Amino acid sequence: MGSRPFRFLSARAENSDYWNEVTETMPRDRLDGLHLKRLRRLLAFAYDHSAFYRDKLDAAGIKPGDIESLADFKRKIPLTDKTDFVHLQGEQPPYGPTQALPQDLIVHHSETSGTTGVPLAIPFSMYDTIRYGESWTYGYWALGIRPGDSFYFAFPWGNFAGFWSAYWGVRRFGATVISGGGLDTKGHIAAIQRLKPTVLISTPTFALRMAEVAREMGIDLAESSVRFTYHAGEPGPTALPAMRKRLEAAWGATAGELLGIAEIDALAPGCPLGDGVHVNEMNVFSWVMNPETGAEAGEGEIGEHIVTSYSNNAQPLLNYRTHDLVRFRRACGCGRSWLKFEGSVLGRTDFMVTVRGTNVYPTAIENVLGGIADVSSHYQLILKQEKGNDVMVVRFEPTKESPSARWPALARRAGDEIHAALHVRLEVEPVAPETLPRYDLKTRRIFDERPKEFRRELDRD
Amino acid sequence: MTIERRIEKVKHARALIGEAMAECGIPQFESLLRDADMYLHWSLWTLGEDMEMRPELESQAAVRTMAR
Repeated sequence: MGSRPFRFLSARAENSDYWNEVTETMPRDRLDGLHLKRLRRLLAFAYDHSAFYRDKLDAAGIKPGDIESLADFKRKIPLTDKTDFVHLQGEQPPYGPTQALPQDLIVHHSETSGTTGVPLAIPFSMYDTIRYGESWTYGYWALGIRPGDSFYFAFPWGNFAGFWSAYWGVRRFGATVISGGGLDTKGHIAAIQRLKPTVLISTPTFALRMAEVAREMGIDLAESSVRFTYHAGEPGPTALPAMRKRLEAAWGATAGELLGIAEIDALAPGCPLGDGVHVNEMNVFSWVMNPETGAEAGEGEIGEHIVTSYSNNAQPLLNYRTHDLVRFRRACGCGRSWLKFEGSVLGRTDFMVTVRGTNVYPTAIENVLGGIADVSSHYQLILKQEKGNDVMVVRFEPTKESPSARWPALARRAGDEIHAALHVRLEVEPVAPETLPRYDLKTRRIFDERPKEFRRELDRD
Repeated sequence: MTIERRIEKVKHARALIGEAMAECGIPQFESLLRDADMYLHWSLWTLGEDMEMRPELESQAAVRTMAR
């Protein structure tokens, strides 16, 4: 056979263990030196172009030139929370004063699902989409996926940034995109059998759901062409070893996971060892904070992940509170020097749970129930697992005055309103007034009845 | 070839693109070269070079330096 005139990578590149060995194994002192330079440039950029950050930094009495060390950045730059600015987007739609680039550079509009009550609008420039997609490529390569692979996207291509960024990554990577947009579960299964992709991209629970439906159709997806499944959006094979076992058995494939935050980046692709994720330190600067004291947490201690993104210039976010609880390590047997979060996200500071890929905040449900007459303020959220899927049941008490004949209608209305507000269908069941426990101190709302091996580490009490 | 030498060549390529784009007036050509410059900027960033946040800001910095 003659030489190959068309090849995506040189033979030497194809044999590399890393997508970019130079930066993925960069010594810590050089990485930190680079972070300081980049953070100073980002601060200047945000100060000059984001009205939100100019006001925030002026109010704190900080000028970009005041930051002379990483410790200065962590200590002096005020934390940013989503609640600081999401309401400002309503006053100045669509993006509010956090927008830092002119509209003619905005090429992609995205939103979060709004499960806190208000969706966050996220603008991206072309360069932002290239950089955001690049975060996925490190993970694809680390798992063993290569540009000759074909990715089947089992998601509906709505407004959420998550799997759009996976698509941007596949384009950067040079692999094939096969869209499953608009198909139902059986349609996805039929498409996979016909088009023979080698990689499945989906939430982990949807991958399990497809395998279950396929079994009912008499099809064993472990015999399919799929050799890798890659997941994001909810705790997956890295966070939950039991989930990994189920996925890999169901699909006969190697399962991978990426940790991302829509408004920040696909910031931490999975480690090839399967026991954590590595922060992409070319795209973001991460540190871990004790959420009680605000002090920096040390290696091996659990704390809240605070992140600053270099890759979203359209809406820069500095020292952003993720509310994710993590434990970091500096060294890893895979050879990467990028910070590692063991087991990915271990829990949340704000009691958010993820149901079928949708983030559900107890306060959002409380807001919905609070708007329905004859529904009291007493409720519980029960997390269960049924046929391999996470389900959430909302148990609520009608008011004492509400006749029991009305309770089923109240439950149906609550279910419909929760679905409209949070974009996820939850089971809602009424219980007799004054039967749910009352608490003197902190009210316990969430009861996790899933098997322990399917809960994140900090959720297994 | 060392990484440092490759980086020098990419920086030179960016300078050539800047010259080719200047005052061109053809939207397609300008936008294609703009994208090419964006990818070259990204290639330098992912090799650990200290770059401005966006390629446009380097052009601005260069203009300010020349004006001094």
